[in-house]
Amino acid sequence: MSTNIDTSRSPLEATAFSKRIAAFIVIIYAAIAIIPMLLIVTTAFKSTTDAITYPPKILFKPSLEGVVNLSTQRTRQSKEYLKSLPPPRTWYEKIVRKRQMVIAGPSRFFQRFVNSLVIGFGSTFFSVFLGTLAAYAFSRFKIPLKDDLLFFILSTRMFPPIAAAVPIFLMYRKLGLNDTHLGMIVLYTVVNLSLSVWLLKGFIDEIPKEYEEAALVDGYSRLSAFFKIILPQAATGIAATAIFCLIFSWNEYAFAILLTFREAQTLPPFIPTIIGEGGLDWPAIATATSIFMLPVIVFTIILRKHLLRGITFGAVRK
Amino acid sequence: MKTENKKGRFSKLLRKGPMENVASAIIGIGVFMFMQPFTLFLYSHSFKFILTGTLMFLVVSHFSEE
Amino acid sequence: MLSKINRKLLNMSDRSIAWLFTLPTIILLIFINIYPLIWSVYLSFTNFKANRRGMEIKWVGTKWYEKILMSEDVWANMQVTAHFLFWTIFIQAILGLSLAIFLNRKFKGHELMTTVVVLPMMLSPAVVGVFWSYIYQPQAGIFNYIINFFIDFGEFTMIGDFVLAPWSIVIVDTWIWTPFVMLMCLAGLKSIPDYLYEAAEVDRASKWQQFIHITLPSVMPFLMLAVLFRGIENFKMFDMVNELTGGGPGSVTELASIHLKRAAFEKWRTGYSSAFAVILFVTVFGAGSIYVKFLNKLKEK
Repeated sequence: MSTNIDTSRSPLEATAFSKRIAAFIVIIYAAIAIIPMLLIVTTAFKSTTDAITYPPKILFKPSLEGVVNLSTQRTRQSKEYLKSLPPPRTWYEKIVRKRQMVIAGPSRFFQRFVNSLVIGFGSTFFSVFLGTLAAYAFSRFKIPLKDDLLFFILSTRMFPPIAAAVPIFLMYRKLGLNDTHLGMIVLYTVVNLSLSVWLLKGFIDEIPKEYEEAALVDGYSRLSAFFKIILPQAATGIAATAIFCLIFSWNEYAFAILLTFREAQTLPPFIPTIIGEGGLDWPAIATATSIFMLPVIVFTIILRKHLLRGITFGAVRK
Repeated sequence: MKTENKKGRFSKLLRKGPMENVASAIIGIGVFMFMQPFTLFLYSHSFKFILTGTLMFLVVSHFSEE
Repeated sequence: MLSKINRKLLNMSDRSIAWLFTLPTIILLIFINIYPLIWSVYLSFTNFKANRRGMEIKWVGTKWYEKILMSEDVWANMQVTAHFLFWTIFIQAILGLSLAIFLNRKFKGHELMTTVVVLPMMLSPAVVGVFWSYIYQPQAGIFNYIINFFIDFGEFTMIGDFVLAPWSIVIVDTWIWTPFVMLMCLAGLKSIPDYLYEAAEVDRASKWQQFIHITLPSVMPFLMLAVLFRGIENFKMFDMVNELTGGGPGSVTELASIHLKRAAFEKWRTGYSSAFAVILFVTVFGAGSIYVKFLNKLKEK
């Protein structure tokens, strides 16, 4: 294949030609894969009529109707009534008035957003806190039936969420935890525990035992060695684990749709229910989805070196 | 002398590695039966295989390596 | 006083630290996982219905298990699941492996491309699933528009059609999860030491021979692990499909989990659905044991 004699290049490195082909193919795949995401962002700036025209509009006049529809509740009014009203004062009132509607109040989006934040951060905190402790113990101490316990912890993650939801629903109903923040935080904490224990055990295993042993010789107690040596060394791992847990709770849908209805409903079950006139309100849904996925994309870019590790529970380290 | 030899061969048969493979195979066959599109008969009996294989795996994975 | 407690805490023995650190996790898992599981197993032998309170619970033996395992409908659901499993894994394995091989040629900007390709995997499948139903719309949807741009099929609808709907969920799943298989294969490719290729070059092995004898065998365990993982995950697939097709039209995309959800939370047949949940759980647990075995083997390398 390689006819050009180039002594500066190692025989293992791909030729310039094959690199170009590879780049070409990967870019085509990436271009196709990114279309849906671009579409989500562009649809967020379409007007409700532009969003459902045929053929689909690539070029369109940007509109803020999506944001307005997402954040308000509106009612349709008769022409006579609209005429009797004073002219709209704000830009968003103008947009709504154009559709012959008036704003009836704020939508529930903001409350659902806060729910997602509270449940996401709450469960992340507890699962990382408990996970760090357990991971340290599993990494450093002799624990009876250690392998079985670790497998048991991992197997809880394999449980199909719907299968688990039936008894949890019944149990939560008895305890009055259905549709509460506390119930969801506890549930997500438990689901994330398996991830955080396994991931963090991997990170802590990588810290040489000699560091601690030296500290113990210097008169540190086990606990202070844990706080002063292990925790700072594992900081990156703990941060990465926390982000993984956060993304999971943020994205989780199956438990959320079955166990929350109103008070504690998070964004994933809420977004599909945003309806306008005559069906789903696509610009509003696209706006909500854009807001929803932005933090995940930022975190993915931050985490790109640890992604595989997080998804395989620390098995593949790269 | 002879019995010891027999015992050795028996425990060789009950090592973790091969037994785990047998259990995995039973689970695999069960999962295939559970999801195959050919006959209802195989589907109806699939769960016995899956359950047996899984329980066997649980037991066998605690055998020693040697 | 406080410092005394502090000192006592700090001088705890290793064994008590081990217990103190692991017990909360284990207790929580027993409370939220094991207890409900045992309860499920119990309910699966009864005629309990969750929407009727105060009902007398009767023991019905293995009635529900027999019913599920004799039912042609549930069998059909399992075949829908099998179709979904087989094609997603097949397509993703091929796409993921080839993408990984190309990315491993380390062209300029391959790291940026990896990040771009990986993005769909991190998004919420349910939320993305909703938006795909917009993309699939027969008229305003961009999917049909692009397909018709190349080959004119006229008007067709992906998620309303009995033949096309099962493929619509395969496409979305492939879009979401190919990056995962790709990342796994990349990890496999990076684990191959350079000297193997150097030795092959010295032996004048062709590129094709190098691929068959060095690249494939090294990547295989990683690919197998990825396939097994995706298999387990897709066996219990719920969120994306529930939002995209909801199991319909009819029940051509009614995967096992969707059937379970319909039985448990729409028809409130708690006994029946508990039995089905137990069957699914044992299956996933069995497959999961094999997965963990593979995992440990890979770790030892």
